[in-house]
Amino acid sequence: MKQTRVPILHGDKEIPLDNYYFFRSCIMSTLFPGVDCSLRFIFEKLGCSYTEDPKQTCCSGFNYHADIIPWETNVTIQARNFSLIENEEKNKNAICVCPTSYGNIKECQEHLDHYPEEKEKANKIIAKFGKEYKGEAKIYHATEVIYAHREKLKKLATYSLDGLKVATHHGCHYTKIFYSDVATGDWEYPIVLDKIVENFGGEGLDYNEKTLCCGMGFRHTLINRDYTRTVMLRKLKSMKATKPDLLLVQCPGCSLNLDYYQKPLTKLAGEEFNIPVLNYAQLTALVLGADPVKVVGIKTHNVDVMPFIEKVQKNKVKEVAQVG
Amino acid sequence: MGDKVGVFICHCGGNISKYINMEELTKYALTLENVPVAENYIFMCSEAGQDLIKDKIAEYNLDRVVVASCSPKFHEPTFRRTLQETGLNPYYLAMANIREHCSFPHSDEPDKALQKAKDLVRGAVARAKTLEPIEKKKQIMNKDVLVVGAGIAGIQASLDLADAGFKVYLVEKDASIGGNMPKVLKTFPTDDCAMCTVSPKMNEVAAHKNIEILSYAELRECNGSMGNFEVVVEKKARLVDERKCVGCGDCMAKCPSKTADDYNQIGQRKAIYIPFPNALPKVATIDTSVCLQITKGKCGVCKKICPADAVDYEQKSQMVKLNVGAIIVATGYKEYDPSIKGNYGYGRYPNIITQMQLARMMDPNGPTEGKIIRPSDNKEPKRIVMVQCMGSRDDKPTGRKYCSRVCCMIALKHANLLKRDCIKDSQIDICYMDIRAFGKGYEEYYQRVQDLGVRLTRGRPGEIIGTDDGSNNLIVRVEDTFTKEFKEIESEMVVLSCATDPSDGTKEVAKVLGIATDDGGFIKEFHPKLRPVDTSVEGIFVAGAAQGPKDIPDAVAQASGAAARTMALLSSDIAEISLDKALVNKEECKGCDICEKTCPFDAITMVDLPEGRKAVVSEALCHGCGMCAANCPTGAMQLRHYKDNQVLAEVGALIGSH
Repeated sequence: MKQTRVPILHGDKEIPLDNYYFFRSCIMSTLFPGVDCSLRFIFEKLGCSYTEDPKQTCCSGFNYHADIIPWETNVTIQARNFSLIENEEKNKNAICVCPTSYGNIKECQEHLDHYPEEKEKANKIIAKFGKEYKGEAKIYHATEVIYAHREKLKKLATYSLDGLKVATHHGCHYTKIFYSDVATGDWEYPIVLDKIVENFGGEGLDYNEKTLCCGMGFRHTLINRDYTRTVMLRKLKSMKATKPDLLLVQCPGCSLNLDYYQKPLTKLAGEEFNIPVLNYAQLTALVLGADPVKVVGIKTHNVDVMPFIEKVQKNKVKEVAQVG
Repeated sequence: MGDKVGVFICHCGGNISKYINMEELTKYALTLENVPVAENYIFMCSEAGQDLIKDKIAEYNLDRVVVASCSPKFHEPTFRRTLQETGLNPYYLAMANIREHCSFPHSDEPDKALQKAKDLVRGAVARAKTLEPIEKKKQIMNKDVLVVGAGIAGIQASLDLADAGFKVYLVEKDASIGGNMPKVLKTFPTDDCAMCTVSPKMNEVAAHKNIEILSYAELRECNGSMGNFEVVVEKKARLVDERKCVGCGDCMAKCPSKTADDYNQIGQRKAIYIPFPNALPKVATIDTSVCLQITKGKCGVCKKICPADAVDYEQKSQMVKLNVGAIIVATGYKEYDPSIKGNYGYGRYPNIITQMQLARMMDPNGPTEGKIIRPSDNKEPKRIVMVQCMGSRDDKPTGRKYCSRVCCMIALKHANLLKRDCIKDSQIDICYMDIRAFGKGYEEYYQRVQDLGVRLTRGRPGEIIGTDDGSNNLIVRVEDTFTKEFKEIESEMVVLSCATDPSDGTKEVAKVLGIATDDGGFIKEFHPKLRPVDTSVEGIFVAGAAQGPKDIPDAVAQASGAAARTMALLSSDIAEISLDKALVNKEECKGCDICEKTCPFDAITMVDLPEGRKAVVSEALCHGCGMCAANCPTGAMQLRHYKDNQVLAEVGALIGSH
């Protein structure tokens, strides 16, 4: 199988260049379906084989981090999901769209592999519907995969991000749980999204509150809303000071918060933000020449992304071969 | 084969006897075959304990001895000496480690501990019977000494040795001797001028008839053993003739090429440079990575301007061979690179500096001529925050687990100097985890600094970020763990008290000499308490921060200690090398060269003899580590004190009947 090595904290790790199991995200697929379409678009452009499995269930990571479901349930759900991945003929590399899925299912896998009795317990339950977890699934985050393909993607790009300033925000469950696995190595100050932006010719902005939480905080957004809003406000204000053309995010939760709440926060902030938000897959698809509406799905965004897209479309590096 | 084995069991003053029943163990030892006598005693390593062993050897005519006590690392040499004094070969001793391997880890299970102690003693007795005598080889002792690293520790050790009449070769990697001490401006707790303290020592070294300085030189090779080391030192090309250069500095003034100043760590220096005004030797050096004549082949300004005609672009590095009897490693430390930790912003925000950079700013001869300025706008900062334990006491993968020992006092010293001399109306905050003011006069210094109004916040900052107002100010986010409040301290400049890392030279020299290092990369001492300046190789000693983070008084004390140990070694005219090394059975050797590849000390060479290709071990190079013996597929390679039959006898007895 084709693979490449990506730098991490100590040395590097192997990232497969093909055969992906598309591990979808609950928030992303419902609120930003353009992300799923964008990833499909990218995989097809790259000529990668991938599986979209209707039997895959939500990883339940939000519920787990919001203290709604118990740990045992979470682990058992994952055992079932892993058994689906393992049963794939060749597309056995789980690519999580969402950092919370990534952190959560990786944690579950470590738990199952570390405690044989827990694995047995989970297997007993999923055996009721003919499934078994063996311990073969490999887990990656889609950002790493795009980063691993960066050279080929640059060649495929229709547009460049030349002259565009992009503020990035990394997902906490990608960088903070399995910190020694973070692509490009810097987990205290993650820059893998910036590397993707730079690959397409754009500038990753260094704003002061770059490592601050997006303001979701899982259970806090449910029960402690005023506090989460003040965090989000601090984040947005700091970002706005560097005048970004775009906010690039990694996580569905961050997308939801930073896109949907910019307008409601205007009153609290006393100023308008108007920072368009895109996900890494959407930005990559856009640069590759995907249709902004049909593929990138900008109609489901709250802050208008069109001004940014117009700036990108001025930076054509090659003829648009095919759209959508 | 030995047939009269005496077993001597030590209580270790309770460390063993509190958990293992000594009488039971002694009784058991007497039941073993060929054991006519078994004794236990409170301190077997004491004079009385050793006399007991000697008496019993005479009384029972013993030919082998087992001591069941602590790790052989502590007292194997002691008991070997005891045997030697009675006329027995010192290698007729086998040790059973019933302390680190038994009473310490099994202190909660006395019954099982006793059983294990019995097993260990049984194994040691079985091994003792098979031990063979090993002789010592005698060589003329070379009385010259190599000191690697000319920081304060290397300087002190060299002077002690030279004053005692020994010839010293002092090797320094950098352009000037002196190390880090000349950079720090003042020394705690007396606020003495560092340069005034170290500079006379540097001059003394240069003038001493017994010391030969090899500056801008690196250790490349080391062969041989205690008493007779052969080393190769590369004298790097300065491209300036040291004998002609008068240190006038005209070349520096005219040189058109600049690069980052690695001595001051702020500002720039020229491609041809003298690192600091008191440098020694005070001669210029050309940095070949930025010199236009070297990189582009055109310039030649320094050569034209030099009044002494000292510049020589064609100069080549030289390999210097030296023969010495002992080596002292004093290769020092370097500051941890804080940019590894992205959340502290070093390298991203201009106004975050390290304590060493601050020290260089305070120096009237430094790059800012003693002015404290913010790198972003050259203005004097009034609010300064210092962040302690930057990379120290940190078990994250980017941190260092150990305490760096000096950073608390460095921060307090700098806070004191800032408040009293540099910026009297400044507000200094120090964020710390614990203030470790452990040395003589340090706690009193800490008290004085608090009286000056320096604010101390107990908490490790989580991150340092900039402000959005374009002022280039910084915000230090920290939890005050006394009040349990989150604080944001705004400041105009942040100073990071970075951890201490072993210098690059320390790592390289350890590799060349084949001496052991610890987890942090510092040189490992042979025994932390009893042999703190000895390394894993006999005849090689360590001094100063190469062994671990330490302040100047400790480094100097250790350097004198290392010099004294070296003198003790060199006071003998004969170097006795024990031959407990690898041995080849030529008949069984098939010449496969696996041992040659595994040997970490290049002690094995394959030689074509009339009877075929065979491995030959150099006694001078072999450390007796046993890698070759473990890897030999035919069993031809044996370690003389751990032959297969000796190890198997022990293993057989260990797993044999209870």
